[in-house]
Amino acid sequence: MTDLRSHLERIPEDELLSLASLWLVRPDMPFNRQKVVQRLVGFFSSSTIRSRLMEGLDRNEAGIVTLVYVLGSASREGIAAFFAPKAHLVVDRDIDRLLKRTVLLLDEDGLLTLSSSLDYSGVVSLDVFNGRMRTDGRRIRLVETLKAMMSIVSASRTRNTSSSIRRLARSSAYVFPLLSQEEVVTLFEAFTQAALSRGLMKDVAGRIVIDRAEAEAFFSLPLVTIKACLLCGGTAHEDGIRLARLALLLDDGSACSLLWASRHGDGVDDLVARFMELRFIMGDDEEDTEASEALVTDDLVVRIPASGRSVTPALFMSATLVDRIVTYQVSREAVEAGFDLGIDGKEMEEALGTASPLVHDRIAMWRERYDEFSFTRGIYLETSERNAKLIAQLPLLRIHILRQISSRGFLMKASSEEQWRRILVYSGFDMLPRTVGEDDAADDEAHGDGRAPDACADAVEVPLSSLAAKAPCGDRSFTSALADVIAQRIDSDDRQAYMDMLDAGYILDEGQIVPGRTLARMRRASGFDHQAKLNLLSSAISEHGLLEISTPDGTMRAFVTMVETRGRTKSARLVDEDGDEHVIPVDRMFALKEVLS
Amino acid sequence: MESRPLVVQSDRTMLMDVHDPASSQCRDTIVPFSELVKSPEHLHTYQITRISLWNACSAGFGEDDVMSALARFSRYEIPETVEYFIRDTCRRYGVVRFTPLDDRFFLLECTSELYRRQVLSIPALRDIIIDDGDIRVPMNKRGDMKVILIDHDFPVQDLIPLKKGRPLEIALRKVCASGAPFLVRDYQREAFDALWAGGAPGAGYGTVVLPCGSGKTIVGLVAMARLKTSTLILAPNVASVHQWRREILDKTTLEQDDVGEFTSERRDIRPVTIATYSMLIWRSSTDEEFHNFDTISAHEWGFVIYDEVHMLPAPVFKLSSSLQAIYRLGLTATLVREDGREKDVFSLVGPKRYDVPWSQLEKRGFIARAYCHELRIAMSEEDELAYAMAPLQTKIAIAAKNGRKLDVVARLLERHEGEQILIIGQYLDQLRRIAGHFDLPLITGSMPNATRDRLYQDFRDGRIRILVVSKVANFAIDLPDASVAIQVSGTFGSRQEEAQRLGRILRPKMRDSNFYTLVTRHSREEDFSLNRQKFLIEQGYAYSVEDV
Repeated sequence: MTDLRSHLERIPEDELLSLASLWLVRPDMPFNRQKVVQRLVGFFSSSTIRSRLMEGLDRNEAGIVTLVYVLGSASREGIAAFFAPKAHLVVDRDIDRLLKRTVLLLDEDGLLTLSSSLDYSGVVSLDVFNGRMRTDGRRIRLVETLKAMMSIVSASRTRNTSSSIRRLARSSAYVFPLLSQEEVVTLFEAFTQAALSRGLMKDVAGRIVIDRAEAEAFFSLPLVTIKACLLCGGTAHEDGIRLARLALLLDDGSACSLLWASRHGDGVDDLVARFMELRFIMGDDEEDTEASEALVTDDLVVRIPASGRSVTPALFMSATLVDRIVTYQVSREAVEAGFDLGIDGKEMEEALGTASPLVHDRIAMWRERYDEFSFTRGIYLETSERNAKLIAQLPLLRIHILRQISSRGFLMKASSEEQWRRILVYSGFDMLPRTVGEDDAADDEAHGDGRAPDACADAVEVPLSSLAAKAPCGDRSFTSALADVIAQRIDSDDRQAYMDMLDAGYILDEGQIVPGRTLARMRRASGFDHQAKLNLLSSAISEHGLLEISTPDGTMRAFVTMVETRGRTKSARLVDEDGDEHVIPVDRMFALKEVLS
Repeated sequence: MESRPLVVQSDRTMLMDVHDPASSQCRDTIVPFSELVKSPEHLHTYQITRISLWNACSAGFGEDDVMSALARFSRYEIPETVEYFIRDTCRRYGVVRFTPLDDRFFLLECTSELYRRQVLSIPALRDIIIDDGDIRVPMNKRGDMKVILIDHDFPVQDLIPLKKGRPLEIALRKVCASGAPFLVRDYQREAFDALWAGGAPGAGYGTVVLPCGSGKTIVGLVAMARLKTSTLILAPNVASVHQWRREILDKTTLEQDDVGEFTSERRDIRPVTIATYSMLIWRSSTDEEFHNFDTISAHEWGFVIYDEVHMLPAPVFKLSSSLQAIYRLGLTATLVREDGREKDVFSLVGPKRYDVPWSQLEKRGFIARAYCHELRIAMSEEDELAYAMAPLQTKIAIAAKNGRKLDVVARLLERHEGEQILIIGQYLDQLRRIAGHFDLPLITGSMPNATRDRLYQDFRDGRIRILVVSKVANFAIDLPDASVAIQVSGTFGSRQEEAQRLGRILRPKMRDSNFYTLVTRHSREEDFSLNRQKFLIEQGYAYSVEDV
């Protein structure tokens, strides 16, 4: 929020003058900035004015105000992007009107914000967004989708480079049939970025490894916080949470909780842009807290309708389809990764429930292979005597062995770990645990800051009392009384100008209705003056003005984008206040009138 | 509460809960428009594809029929993307039709001007069609046209009446020539009825999908007896040719002189002629014409049977496009091709008309249960070291020829004493060692066909109980009485080969069958065995693993 005085002191002189002409009966001459500011502040401090300003907002304006209210501040472009596909012109016009009526102000950074002197409680409402986010009705199941992505990353041990992640995302797109390939890539990138930032994923020797404890912590967060993490790249700061919560609630017109922080973070535009990028998941509100039983078949396929809070299944299996039921494959690579994360065979069996003996047998076989080796950072390789005898005789391994310590152990070169691991696998030792050691502790400390912002998740639960159930509809009960005053005080020549001002919402008090006051005249053109119509249309294009256009089919208000010639006919391309496009021959317009906006 | 055993997934697969009371009914309802992908216990997976939907459309199903069927059995809402796919695909069927004109040309008709323009814009058609208001196409280009059109997602509804061919007097016996009673099973008759559809337009050609060993040959014989026309049978190899000949002479009224073989051994064209695919497409050089094909197709056939149609070599597609005018039957255990040419099978042979999975036939008591066992055997230390140091291909051979497998074979032979047993392997030296150790006959690819046939006959008659066969030789075995197979080294073939081999060995019989695979522990053989295990389980076989 910002206060009106600061706003008025900041805006350029011509804008201040324009506001003064609009609201003050007699602007000061010669122009004295301080006095003008003082007078405008005085004018808008009236409780009647303030109340009538709020009463005069229509539904579209209430939507913009609510968005700024939720975000704290926003740029013009961000607001236009948020309300896309509504025409930019229409949103721009609404923002201009709100600025002229000081319902919105500009803060120090030039961002749109709310006025500290106005009470918005009756106008901010999520009702205006009701159902807007449900663009396609897809049931994406964000949490299951992210777990599936995590399982794919875990089993693949992908490199921590953006190209590898993108490649993995593209090759896994078939797992997510409800998402397009671009959406899969976008979500993969957002998730891995957030996960790396929070420590759920870690870079170990250039490859991504999952941290089980952090994974469990992450997936126990509320859905809104998870979304905020995706928006904010992991830190889930307050703007992200507000935006994510707004997104969660957009389909819910009923009362809800939302904490509006008094400060805003940097990069709100980036946030909104990211929001638009991830918009396809924002409407997802499914949160299965109850886990359902896994169905396991002998072909090592596991199907889980809902994993609930548990992440264990995703840490030792690889997802193959995310749909109403999530399908996983028990593969050697995924099980090996699970062993590396400390998930033992017993836990796997518990996760699989009453799986077939074949599946348990397969896991037990892999466990047996896995347990034959251990690698401790140093690097010390320990295995069975039998295996050690074989290893000692492998020519390709010799240059990688520093020393054979015992009948079962070798000191290996750390610098060539990747090469000698490949040799071991090639030689038939294909279930090799990861190397453990002091670096694990260091890794645990590195990402501590991932925790702090989750405190915001608790903070956002504080309810706001000022959220209206229904958005205003623009009914201004005071206008009829003011119209009567206009009729009484103002002679017929100036009456129309006053009525235009009243319609546009710039007459809020009878003190503004003074004979002799110079008001901007709205230009008009009638049907017989073809050139005047063309001139008015051209002006509207250059000034982004709104025109009221009367044709045999009715009257509409629209912005003019272009006047084009087709044959001998000139036609105007128009965008109405709903954002719909029209093309109307100029000859069919029998009256044109500027609309004060 | 109504039973709803089906889960329709967004990737157009469907999971069917086989334990649900309505699963049977559900299966019968969805099979016409979907393909069975795998059938392990608990959940069978079906896939909806363009081809499967067009198959259904050709049998009279519409998009609403498909959607109603899904809605009736689906546990959850049908995903929008699936519904869109179904409707969009079904609407493509019938927009292009072939209708008769005269002996030399037929008409290509489109249901709208838009489709007509789209078809005419296909470059590959420009040299074939004659557009003079009506689109005329030379009759001999019928097959080519179908292939081109389906590649552009225009499945053709072929309404040109089929030619009858030279009449042939043939009937099925009630008692086989061998003396045993002969009864056509109901599913075999159902399969033919589905193909024939009462002789309606747009019927009389198509594919029947039946599991290995369930008597697809009988379906062919039923068709021949009904159509009573000269018949060309195309089979994958000589052993199959002989098998067809035996069945025809045993179960129909045809005599020896009525049945000819066109193979590398004989070139005898008769009213019923059985040829191999390879003979059909043989030529001495790539510059030469397909003389054999010209020879065969010069005869007035009324019916062609494509045995193991999923193995139809790609060149045969091109040639067989000229066999479009007659009744056609494709027989297979799976329509899935490794080369992805299912569309060609749809166009040139015909849509799938009938399909029933193994488990159904087993439930109905027509075939005995088959049990698959994997026996894991450790290597000697000496072999382990050799394995560790060897390059990849040699590793596979070392693991496969693990000397300790011989002891396991001995134990299995003892366990199944008295039964008919096949021992199969990849490596000749290994097989020779086994054959020599147990004093058993060994069949290899280099063995003359006559000798091989004699040994098969002896095995069939019970004079030989155990046969050792190489991978090449066992391809088209038809040994109804083999109840045990021991695979001592992996085949590494395609999935279809795996099922085919297993199915040929384990034919329908009154006793349960056992298939053993010997796998060396901690070796590459285990990876292959894992894939095989999954595949066999997907086909519905019971599977167990044992360490020995």
